[in-house]
Amino acid sequence: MIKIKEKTFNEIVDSIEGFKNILVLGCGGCASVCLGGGQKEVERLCVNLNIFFKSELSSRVAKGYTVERQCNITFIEETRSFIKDFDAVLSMACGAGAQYMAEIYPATPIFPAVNTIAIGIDREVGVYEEKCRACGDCVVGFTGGVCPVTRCAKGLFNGPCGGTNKGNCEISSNIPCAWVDIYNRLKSQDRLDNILKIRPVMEWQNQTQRTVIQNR
Amino acid sequence: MSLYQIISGPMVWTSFLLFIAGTIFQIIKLYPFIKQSTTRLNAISYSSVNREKTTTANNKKIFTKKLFRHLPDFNSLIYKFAMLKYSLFGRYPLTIFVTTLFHLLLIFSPFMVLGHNILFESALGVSFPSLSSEFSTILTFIIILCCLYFLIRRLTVPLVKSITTSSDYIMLAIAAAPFLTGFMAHHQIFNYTVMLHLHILSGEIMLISIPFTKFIHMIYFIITRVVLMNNGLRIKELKI
Amino acid sequence: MTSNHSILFEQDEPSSEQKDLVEISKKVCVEEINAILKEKKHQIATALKVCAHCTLCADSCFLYRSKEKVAEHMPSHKFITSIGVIYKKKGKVTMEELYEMRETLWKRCVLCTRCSCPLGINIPELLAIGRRILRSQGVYHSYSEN
Ligand code: SF4
Ligand code: SF4
Ligand code: SF4
Ligand code: SF4
Repeated sequence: MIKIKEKTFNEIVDSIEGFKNILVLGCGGCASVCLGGGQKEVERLCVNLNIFFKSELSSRVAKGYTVERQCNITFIEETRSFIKDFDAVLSMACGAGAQYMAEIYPATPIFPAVNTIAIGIDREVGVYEEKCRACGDCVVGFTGGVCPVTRCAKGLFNGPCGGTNKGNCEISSNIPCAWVDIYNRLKSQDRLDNILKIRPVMEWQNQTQRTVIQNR
Repeated sequence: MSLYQIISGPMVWTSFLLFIAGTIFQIIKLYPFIKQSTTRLNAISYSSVNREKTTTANNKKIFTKKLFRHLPDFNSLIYKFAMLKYSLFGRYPLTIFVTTLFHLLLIFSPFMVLGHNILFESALGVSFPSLSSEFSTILTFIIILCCLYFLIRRLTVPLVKSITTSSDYIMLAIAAAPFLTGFMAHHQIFNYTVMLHLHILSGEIMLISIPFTKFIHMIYFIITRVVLMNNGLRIKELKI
Repeated sequence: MTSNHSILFEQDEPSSEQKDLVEISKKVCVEEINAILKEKKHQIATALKVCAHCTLCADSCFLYRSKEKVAEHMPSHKFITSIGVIYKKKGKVTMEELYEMRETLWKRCVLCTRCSCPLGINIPELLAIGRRILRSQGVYHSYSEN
């Protein structure tokens, strides 16, 4: 699912400078699963903000609320009755959720309180690893189930660059080279011919906003 | 006034009146809910307006080794028939068949019984085409069988049992009673007069209970489904 | 020393079950629940009235299809035993009941909004109201507790 991480407190405080009533809006979906913006995190941020506001001797207040998902109108709708009581919203959902909130409430300033990091997997509770960059044209069928877009620092579609350094990436000896992993995996499955198939580069074709319409 | 006169005279009118008034009342009561759903629909279309269908880069055609592949003809009847198993009907064929039949007959067959039409004619001056006595008997019998199917399903299927309450049995009894008594009266099983009285009475009970009990799904079903369908239509509209 | 220390530290931290026990002793705020129930009254009442207990929604839930096909995974069972119970009791529920409902509302449903009822009941929305009520009482599933 989508993985997010809370912004630093300073950045959050800076962004809501000058707004009096703040709504901290959590998301019960992915944001909650990756311990980034669920109800618990919302409550914690509210406490922190209110302590800060008190130290400022201002009358500003932060209140928390968690909807089930900010990317579906069904669940955002319940905030409509009280959204007007707030001057600004700090969204703790991913960028998609924050934008949808902004779209639904054109008059309310929305600020993200989190950074949307990745589409990833759960290594363990609290440790998440990026696996996919949603390039829109999945190639892992040719690359032995290792994503070159995500794992290769240069996102190379076709073969390693010249910097491959004993199985590691040229940018750091801590980062394994994606193409070495691809080679090893394809070799162990006897599918090495796959590596020879040239995949045309994206050439920014995947840069327009996408709309998915499924056949139902 | 005899008992027969009461239940076949003022009681009938009262129950029709209660049915109509109750229906109108319940629809008005639902208005805030309908309005809520409409605001949501507006929000959906607000956010999607003027959005072109954008798809992702698709440069994989190069890798297709074979030029011609056998693909199912997505518009063919055979394909559609194969897809049927993923529909509600495909998953519960018997139940959907019985349910559809039951509801259609429940609503329409009372208008097609000769005896009823004579009453309609004398009371309102209008009547509907009547079915032959044998055919109405068969239809009534089918309804009773459907009710039995529901009863057995309620009693035996664990899934159904898990959410069954006593009201479900009462509803089933109220729905079956007019048909059972009508059937018995017509065939002079037991005592004709008693059965006729019971038939009229149970019909009236059913009519009155429609707006005020779980039978309300007869009315609300239309509204909730239309709201849903409207939703679906709006989404279809967006498929540019 | 350090290992002892860490053991001590771990014992100081209440386990999730202990936490739940502490939480359960908290009081339920009936007014708060009723405020939400009042706002959503028509929707809940309509759904409870319209649901014919026909169980045709069972197969539309992917959890029902992929996990054991037990009644607990059927969408209608989920909303009748959660929000339905809260509504029928007019909000007068105990913390224990809310914790039981938490299992239904979070573990047996991911609010994917895929389920459909032939009578047009919006089941996910009802389950979301249930979650909202639980959240208002501080009862929710924490993904860090496994
Ligand atoms: S708003 Fe973002 S974080 Fe929340 S459920 Fe949707 S995709 Fe996940
Ligand atoms: S190639 Fe990589 S980034 Fe692209 S869809 Fe596949 S996993 Fe995601
Ligand atoms: S399909 Fe609809 S009416 Fe039938 S049990 Fe499920 S929610 Fe109730
Ligand atoms: S929203 Fe919940 S009940 Fe409905 S299909 Fe998804 S998991 Fe099942």
